Amino acid sequence: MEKEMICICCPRGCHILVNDQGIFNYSCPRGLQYAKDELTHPKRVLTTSVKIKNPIDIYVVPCKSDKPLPKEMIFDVLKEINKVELTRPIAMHQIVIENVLNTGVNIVATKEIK
Amino acid sequence: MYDVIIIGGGVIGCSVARFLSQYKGNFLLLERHNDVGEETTNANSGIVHSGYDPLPGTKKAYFNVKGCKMMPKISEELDVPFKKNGSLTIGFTEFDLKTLTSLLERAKENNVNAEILNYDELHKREPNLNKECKYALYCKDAGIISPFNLCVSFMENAMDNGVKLNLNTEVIKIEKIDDFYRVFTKNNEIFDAKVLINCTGTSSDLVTNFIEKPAFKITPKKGVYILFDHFDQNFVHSTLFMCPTELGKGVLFSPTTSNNYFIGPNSVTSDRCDTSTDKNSFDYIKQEAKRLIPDLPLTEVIREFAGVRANNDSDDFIIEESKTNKNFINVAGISSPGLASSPAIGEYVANYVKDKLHLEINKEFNPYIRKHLKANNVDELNELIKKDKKYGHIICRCEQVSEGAIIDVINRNCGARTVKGVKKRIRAGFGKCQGTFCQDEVIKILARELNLSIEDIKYSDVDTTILKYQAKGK
Amino acid sequence: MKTVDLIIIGGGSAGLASAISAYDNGINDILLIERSHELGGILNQCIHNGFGLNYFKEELTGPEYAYKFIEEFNKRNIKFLLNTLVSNIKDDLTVTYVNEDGATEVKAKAIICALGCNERTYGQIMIPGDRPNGVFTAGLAQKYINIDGFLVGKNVYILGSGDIGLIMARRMSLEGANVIGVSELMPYSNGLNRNIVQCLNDFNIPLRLSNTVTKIIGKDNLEAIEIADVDEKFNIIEDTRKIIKCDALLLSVGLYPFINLLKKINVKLYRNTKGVCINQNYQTSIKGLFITGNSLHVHDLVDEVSKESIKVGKCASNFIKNSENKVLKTINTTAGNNLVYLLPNFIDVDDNLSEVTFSFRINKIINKGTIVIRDNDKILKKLNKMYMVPSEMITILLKDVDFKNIDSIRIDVVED
Repeated sequence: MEKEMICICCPRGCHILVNDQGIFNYSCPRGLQYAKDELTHPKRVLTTSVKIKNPIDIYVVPCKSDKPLPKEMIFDVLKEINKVELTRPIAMHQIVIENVLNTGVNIVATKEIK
Repeated sequence: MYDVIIIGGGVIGCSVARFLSQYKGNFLLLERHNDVGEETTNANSGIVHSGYDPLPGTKKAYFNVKGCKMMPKISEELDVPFKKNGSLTIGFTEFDLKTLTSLLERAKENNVNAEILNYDELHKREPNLNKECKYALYCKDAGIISPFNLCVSFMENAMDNGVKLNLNTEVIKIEKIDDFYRVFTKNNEIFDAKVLINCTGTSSDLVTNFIEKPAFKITPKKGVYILFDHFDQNFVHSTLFMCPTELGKGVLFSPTTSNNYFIGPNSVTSDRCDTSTDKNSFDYIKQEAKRLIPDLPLTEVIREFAGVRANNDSDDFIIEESKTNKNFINVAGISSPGLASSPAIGEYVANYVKDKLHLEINKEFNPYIRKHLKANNVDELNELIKKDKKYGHIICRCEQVSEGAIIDVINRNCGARTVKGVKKRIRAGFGKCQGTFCQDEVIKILARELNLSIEDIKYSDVDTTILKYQAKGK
Repeated sequence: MKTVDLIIIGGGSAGLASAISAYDNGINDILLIERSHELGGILNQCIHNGFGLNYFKEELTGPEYAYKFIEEFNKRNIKFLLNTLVSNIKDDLTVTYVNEDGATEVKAKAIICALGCNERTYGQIMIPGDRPNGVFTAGLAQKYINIDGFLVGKNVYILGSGDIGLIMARRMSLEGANVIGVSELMPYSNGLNRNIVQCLNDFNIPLRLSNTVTKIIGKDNLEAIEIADVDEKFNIIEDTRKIIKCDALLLSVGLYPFINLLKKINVKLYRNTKGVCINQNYQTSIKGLFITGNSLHVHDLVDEVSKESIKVGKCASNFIKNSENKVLKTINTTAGNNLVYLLPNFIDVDDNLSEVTFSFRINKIINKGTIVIRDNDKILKKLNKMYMVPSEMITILLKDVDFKNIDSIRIDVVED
């Protein structure tokens, strides 16, 4: 078995090679970890937005998962995020949802809105 | 009961409305789109032809020459961008010179100022012209005008003086009842009027057909244009026509009143509503225009569009009362030079109706619209911002249009109610970025001024919602 | 007339970095002018991650990256204006700016243009067909979804595989839209490989290479598009035409520097970047007028914009402090084989000049090639490089040469 995958950890996009002998052609520890995860349980950082209850100029505030989430849970997590409405002011990295769906991952705001 | 209903809010209908408003009466204009000037008026050359071209004795010749003479005053009263930039009809060969000479004769017969320029005079005037261009018929009274603003301001002035405008009102049936007409619309409204004026452009034979078999036939002709940014206002000064040959009239290269340039149009038979563009047309226009300006500024292209002209098979304007149906007036087949002729046609038709209905003069008639506030220098701009700080908030950075100016065109009679309406009136979104940077802000201003939510703001017609779905799964 | 040492036009990533840098290099009398209601520029709508790995060594979203710079900016006592548009620049370095307080003219000792870029529109690439509601640049659709919270359509097609297009494919998918596909005119993607994986492959969105939109269909609203394959010369292959129903078409078909303000004055333009010419200090043909970021040339990564702008801030400071040396000669540069453009366009040689960094892009994929810098027949530097692509800007440093003895510089990329 041989598999090539493109690393998504940074803009470099290394072509990582995985075969029976091991994992090759990665350039950093993050790349190695990515390849391992991708083989067993792929993960992605989710970036999206949350509604603001009392908006001025900006109607939604961006947010992200503070760690990669299991890829198959992305749309379930989105459903959770879509239930939330935040009230201004919003602090940078304010927690939107703590430990979302028991993943151990928090959803945090990625913009300060006064 | 209305005295007069005008069907169709293109530049002709709006001009008729404006000149009718000089008289006392109950006048209504019905327009099927969400704004006036959405069809032929919206996509034409914007040329105020001098009138050398139409055959002497035709309606085209009469109204064109008269309209051209009226335009400086009209543009001042209605505060419409207008420039007498002159036109040059370019000849390449000795044979063309013969054609130009006969056109010069025609110009004289039509009472139009014209002269033939020799090579040096021509190239001194237009240094970027193809060196193969040898002669030109120069008409100094020809000009360029903003067709959108002319149409909108005709209607605004008409409304200032008491004419009513119903948008989104498509006429689907007309009945003659005794001595008046009953007009039925798609949204189930009914209007009665003593006089009907049919100004429905490419649909005019269809509308006439509601009441009688039309004595004319409209064969719509589509023309495609390519528009350039305003990169250098001295690139070309006059409107450049090609000397007509048996192959056709060729395309033109012209500046616009906003210092943009365009090339086009071609002319192909089309459906009434088909304003699609195509690659063959682009290629043809570019190839032809290169004969005038070899170094076409193709890196400055910002948009292509097409307009449909209401070509009448008999090739002259139809401006007459129906012979069988009294008080039903057709103003049809207004193809080129329709824009140039529009004030003269409006005046003529209004005068005709006045005599018919014995209308009195409207003593309160004010020929001027409220001037658009403009600043020509920093001091004037400061004055303006002192009066209204919103003139200091620039929304469209390509065309430098302020929030104040946008609010102004929304809050007028016949005001903008759509993104396209703002674009047509004040050029926000007309520039190189085509609204990429300001469309969302224009939507927000429209929503605020019209007291609507931003989801309700349309691009143009009523079904053209821009912000279609709320994010966040709602 | 008011005077100020340095005016920076634009408060996005380039403006912020150059302001911080100029300040730290001893210029305190700075005025930064931003047209929007907040600093940060286009980063504010780029809510995806992938920024900062280079510059901050951590992965950030656009607003987070902007926040870090805004915090640094705020630590310094730099004057700035929001909701303010520069309406005019004169070649004597007078700037007119307009806001709700009025129109003001200020004369500067130096100006840094950090104006960002524009997206190409369907009019610019001349897509035939109708002109309905429903066709947007990817950036405008991004603003609508990420700032205003609205989707412009639910059945979306994307033309152009630039990164914004790919990012929007994922973004629209996450918000419940059906992204039907992405067409790319070139035989290769213009976006980063990682974005093809995480924005298209993750969502099973097909990428059609050597394919383009040949027609826009829909009278008032977009109803469908026609796509078709193209051959190597970009001619449409007739029997591949196909109609695709959709209610939104997003365009990610290229960016170009926003230089409207500079076109009105006598700045030497550079056709290859659709921008302006500069020397090695990022100075345009007008003395004291500097330019940086995407208004100079479109970058792949914001990290590169920041790095460049920090250099430009320093160059402008040196100019203001009069600490520039006398120019002994000027060397012109030429973009040679396989280069789309080459910056700087000219090199002002002085006694201290020891190195110059060149940036360029190439016009095709070169798997194995050699970058050759030469002065006529004399080779100044040769560098072998693997896997060069048009979507990645290449930079190369030239040092340990005697610039005083160089007549001209030309860079070629030779396929091995």
